[in-house]
Amino acid sequence: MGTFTHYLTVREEQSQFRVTVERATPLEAIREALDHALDLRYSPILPAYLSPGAVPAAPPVLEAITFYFARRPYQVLGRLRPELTQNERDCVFFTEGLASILVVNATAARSAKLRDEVGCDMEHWTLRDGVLNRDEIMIHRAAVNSAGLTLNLSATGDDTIDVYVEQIAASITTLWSFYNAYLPSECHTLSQLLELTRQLVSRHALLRTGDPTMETLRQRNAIVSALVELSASLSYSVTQGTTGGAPILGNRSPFPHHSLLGVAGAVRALTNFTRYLEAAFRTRSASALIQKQYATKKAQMPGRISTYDSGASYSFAMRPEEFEQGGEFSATNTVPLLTHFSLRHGFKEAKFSITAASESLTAECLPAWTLMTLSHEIMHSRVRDIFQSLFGTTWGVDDAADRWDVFFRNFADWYRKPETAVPVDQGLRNVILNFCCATERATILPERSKESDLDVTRDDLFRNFIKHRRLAGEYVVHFHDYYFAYARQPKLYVMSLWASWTTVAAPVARPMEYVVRTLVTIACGTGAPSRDAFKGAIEQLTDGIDALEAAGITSPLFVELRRIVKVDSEKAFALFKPAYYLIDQVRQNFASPSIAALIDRLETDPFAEGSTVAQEYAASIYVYGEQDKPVSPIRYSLAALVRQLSAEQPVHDLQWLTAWNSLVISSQEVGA
Amino acid sequence: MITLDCILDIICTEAYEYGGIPEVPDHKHGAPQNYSAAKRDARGVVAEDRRSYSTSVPALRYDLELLQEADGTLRWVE
Repeated sequence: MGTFTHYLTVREEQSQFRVTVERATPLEAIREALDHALDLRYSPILPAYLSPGAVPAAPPVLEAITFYFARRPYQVLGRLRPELTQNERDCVFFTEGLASILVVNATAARSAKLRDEVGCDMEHWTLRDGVLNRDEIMIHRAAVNSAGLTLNLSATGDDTIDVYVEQIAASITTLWSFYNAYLPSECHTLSQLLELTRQLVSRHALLRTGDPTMETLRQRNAIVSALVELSASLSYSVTQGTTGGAPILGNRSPFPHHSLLGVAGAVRALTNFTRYLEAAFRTRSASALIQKQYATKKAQMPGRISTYDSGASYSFAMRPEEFEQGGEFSATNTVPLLTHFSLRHGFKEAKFSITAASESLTAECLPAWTLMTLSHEIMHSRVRDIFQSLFGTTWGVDDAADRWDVFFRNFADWYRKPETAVPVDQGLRNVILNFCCATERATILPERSKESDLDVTRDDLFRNFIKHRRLAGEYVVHFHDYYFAYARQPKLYVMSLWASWTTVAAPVARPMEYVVRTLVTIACGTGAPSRDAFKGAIEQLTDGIDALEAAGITSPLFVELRRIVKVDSEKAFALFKPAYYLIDQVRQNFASPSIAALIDRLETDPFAEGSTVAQEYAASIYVYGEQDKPVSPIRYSLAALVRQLSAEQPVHDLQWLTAWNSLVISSQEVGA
Repeated sequence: MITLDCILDIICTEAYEYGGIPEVPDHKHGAPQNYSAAKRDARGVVAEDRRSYSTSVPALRYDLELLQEADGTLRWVE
């Protein structure tokens, strides 16, 4: 809430709709609606054309509202601006909904002329004394050239599965029609999910044909779990992505604070952000490289965590990178992640979806809710792919128990003779298992244990992996996020992490883990001996925390963090060492300058001017989109985060800035 | 960025590693056991109790340990 944000409200009164604009807060409208038991819908609307240092003019008395369903509103604002008088510019607003731009008090003829300029669907309301009658709603829709989708699913006769088949088919049907009209690029996502569902159902049917065993029962349960998860994600996509379309009054959003226009524009921003990273990573598939290149190439991998001290070969200066060797490894037939907001899950990755915290709809411009956190979640998907390639089994072979016998033998042979060169995929697996075993042994002892107590069986190894893979995975994710999304800027990464972690329960519950995660990530790529890398990382960490506090971001967590690095530094270093060992090997084998360059796109981004340094990114709220100058969602979000962290916001209105960032990102064409 | 085949195989792997328990919390079959551990996945400590079928491979003497020296410093030894 702030002085720039207005709220378009509609109260239903005896088959008529009273339309008003509230300034700064919708609470008065809510109070009145409650007092009189009226149906109230509203959404924030934000003035589109600001002047530096000036508070936007208040909207005039409402006589008409025109909604434009522009897919690229940032560019549309750029195209419209020269066509409008200053009075008209004061009446242009943008939103987080599907009706991304609205113009107040334009006549029907003027609205139609602007629609020709903008080239999108339009809905026009004529108001009489602030009241709208349904028969004075005018809708202009362009004919949609819809392609059909063949439903290759049918009832299976298994009641449980059929429930999910119907749910998924119904959601895809709703989304297919809607995406054809408003978001055609996402039709591919739906056809992939339909094919995935078909294959899951078919696999489940196959498992039912043989004699049931505990193993096949587990597999069937895993498939049912996947179908539930997929169905739930699709439901989110339907309720968030398809509401707010024309006719607006017939498409109410389930988000109470966006009930009039919905949040489909903001969801499109999340989708673009995700597709942008997916497209970059698709150019070089980690799993293809592991299976074809790393399985055949041998290397010596360090096996002794106790004496591990990094070295020059782990430095970011090392060229050429291992991951860039060996020709083309692009990924085909991928399944894009569904994206939506979730209050319950916050920022989270799952197999089929990515969620952003619902708070990001209102306060994305606060560090706690920045879209940059989404990059961390998307990296989880990349790491899921890597872990499957290193440790997973397949339906085709289905030999997980035998595989783990082999994994154990390989690990044991290598641990006994770590100087032996092994295939890189095996080496990476050994390194992760070594980290998991070390984490299991991270209990402080006064003296050495009996030798017989040190044995690790095949089942112990598997158990250690299951128990500590989450932490191992977090380090692999941190590397990817730091390297690809944050362009290896340690202070910025520290500030971003800790500004957001002040609002998350886990870092408060387990501060030591999060301190070590930070230190290890920013130490990665230095190639420095462990103790030196640790000390250097502490300096960077405390610098970052000092800068946060200087920008007014404070937390008791920071006091605890300083205590840990000062008083508990020996314990922190003990945990740092195995993690530093792990992240060094990940850095050496997964750094990819070619993917990083695709994410940065410094040559074409109009605001980057060739620099990866976030502080030099020149995005301005007074500049509007141009047709052929794509903005990198990552660089844009990072630059916005830098302004947040340095308390240099261009306007003091959370909702306005949040919606603006969303508008810019939602307007980019990505993933091609 | 994950291929369709790979996602299918991930589900096969999960059947072995987690016995079919859902990944996402708040489902009737996968209620979280405590909040902080369960945000990332619903499986929690249940996963630790999974046992494999094979125990025929001899054990490894994995001798890495974390020791506290007399002066209070910590040292990994192996």
